[in-house]
Amino acid sequence: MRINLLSFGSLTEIVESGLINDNDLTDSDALKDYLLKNHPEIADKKFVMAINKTVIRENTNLTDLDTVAILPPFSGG
Amino acid sequence: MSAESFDRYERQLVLKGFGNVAQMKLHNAKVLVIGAGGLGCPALQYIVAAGVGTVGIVDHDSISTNNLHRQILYSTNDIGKSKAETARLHLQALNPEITIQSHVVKLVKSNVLKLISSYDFILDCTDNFDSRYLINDACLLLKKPLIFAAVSDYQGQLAIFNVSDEFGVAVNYRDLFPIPPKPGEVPNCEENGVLGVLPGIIGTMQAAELIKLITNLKGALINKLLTYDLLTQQIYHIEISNAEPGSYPKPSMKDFENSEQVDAAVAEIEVAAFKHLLEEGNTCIIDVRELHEFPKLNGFAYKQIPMSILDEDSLNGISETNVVFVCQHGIRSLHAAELFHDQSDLNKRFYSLKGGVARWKVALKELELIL
Repeated sequence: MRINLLSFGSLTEIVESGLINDNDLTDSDALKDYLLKNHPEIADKKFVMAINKTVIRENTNLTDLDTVAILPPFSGG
Repeated sequence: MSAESFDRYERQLVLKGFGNVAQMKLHNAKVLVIGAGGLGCPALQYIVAAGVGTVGIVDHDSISTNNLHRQILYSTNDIGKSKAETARLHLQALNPEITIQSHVVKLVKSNVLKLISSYDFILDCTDNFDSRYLINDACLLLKKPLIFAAVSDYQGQLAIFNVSDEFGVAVNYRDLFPIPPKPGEVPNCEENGVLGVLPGIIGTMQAAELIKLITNLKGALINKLLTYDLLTQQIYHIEISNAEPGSYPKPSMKDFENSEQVDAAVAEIEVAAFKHLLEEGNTCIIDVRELHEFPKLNGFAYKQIPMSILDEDSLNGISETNVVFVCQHGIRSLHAAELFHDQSDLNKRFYSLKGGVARWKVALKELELIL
């Protein structure tokens, strides 16, 4: 499964945007586990996940070449 | 419309899809801009120039030298003056035909509903999560359209909340981020810095969304979060839907009542009281700024515990009764004081230097307390 990951804000310091190729990434929970395993610092971060530009609320199936964005809250002004 | 008004707005009156009807909608709108800083200044300039009939400005802060690289509504002569009042004067000169009201108050639970209720549209141009969640919850409760914007490093976020789409669905900030981040969890502009043009761009986009919303132009960012990247000049939209019921507490009128005690729970002190505590002794000063931030404190003993590493164990071993937190603008230090205030088992008093080093730079220098 190839997932196009888009990382935003301070999350880019933990995980860079790019293509992830891993056969286990069949759903969003598997992707979250993958991110936690490879980038444990992400556990302390709040972010919202969007698959193909739509925010997801629960575990959602992924298909090959889906784009998944992870966006943290910004506070600056 | 008077001949002078026609002249002033001529270039948008002749614009296809805009015209006199849209101009009258702007004229009849009442807009409250909360925060007259990096986002608020450009947003205000375009809102006022476009002819929004009534504009309110909320800001309790005063203008500092390090504001000027991005808050270009102000000039060097304005340093030390009230932001809301100075903004009102400059903006009234830009457009004398509209009504501009300044509110030099700190937005808190006990005044937010009253302030917001007099206006039709609210712009969140603040710089901290406490204000953002307070404004979001108040706007959600009063069903006020809220145009949200925020920046971080080289990126900005923009969204419209509490406006129903064609399916009758309206979202708010808590549908994206139900629970506020803990103090210090997300770095702010003071810690990370910001290029002045970024809030300039995002604040201008915020004004554009407001104008689209008021005049019913197509394409307003309803139920969408826009993220802008200054480095790549790319924009990314995501669609927001309502969070599951129970994901966050629904605000009620009760949440905004009897809140004076909560607001006053942590003592924010001015420089005179700070000096008094120093003289009194039995006082520990903690600078919660990051190690690279200037000016450094001087002339008295203090501990430096940056907000990024401050936690509940940080005060172990501190014997003094009074603990004063200090930072650049008094926002992080207030968070720090609140963090420890909640631990009522500690027999200590916690204070935050209101306005921080930036506000008191001159006074602290006179006291020889900074380099």
